[in-house]
Amino acid sequence: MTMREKVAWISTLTSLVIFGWYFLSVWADFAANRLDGDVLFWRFIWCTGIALAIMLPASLLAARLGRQEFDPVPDELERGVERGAYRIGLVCLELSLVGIVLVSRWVTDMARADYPADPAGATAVMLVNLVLFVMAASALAREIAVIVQFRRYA
Amino acid sequence: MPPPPPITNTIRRLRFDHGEMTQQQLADRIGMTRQTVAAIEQNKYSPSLEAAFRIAEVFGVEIGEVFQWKAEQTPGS
Repeated sequence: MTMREKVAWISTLTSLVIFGWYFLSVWADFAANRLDGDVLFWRFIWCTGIALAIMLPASLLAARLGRQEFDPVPDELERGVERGAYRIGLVCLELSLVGIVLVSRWVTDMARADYPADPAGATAVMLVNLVLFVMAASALAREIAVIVQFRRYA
Repeated sequence: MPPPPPITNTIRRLRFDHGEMTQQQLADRIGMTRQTVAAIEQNKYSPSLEAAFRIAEVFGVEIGEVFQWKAEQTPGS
């Protein structure tokens, strides 16, 4: 397995667990009408920190165990795989962002109804988390595309 | 991933004819990963023209001795 595929596996699994938990917690707060921007901000920072603290040492360990370079120069096949995966990730991100724009009106109405004290703040919290979600989902789609393409060549 | 073009290669035989060169050794010589060499060898991936020339250069043969076009018909024929 190439180092790039190993990194993609590590990134995918870590993101699924850490950010999967984060977005589930956001959904739970949303369902209970207790979204708090400050709490979510620090929860997200902690999740990002934990994800980095797992991914970096795991990648270093994978490189050491496989006696591979940590960040080798990609060859032409790897560049092709990454190009294809980035294209998939970009398309996912673009479509999702358009989707967020389309649901923004619904988000605003919901914030007005559920958070009458601060509808603008609630709208911002919901939209920011939607943007974070589509960014994370697009990055995940990109990493999964990397894995799938490497598996097809293996 | 598009289907690979009808190209075959003799890399495996050439490797063994050159002192049982490993895929890793060939990969190191042409600046690729062992996995990419394995994909080329199994016809799962068609290398660029530059990579094809590099492989031929390692074995000291013409590019046509490494890669062969196996199409039954060419366009327009």
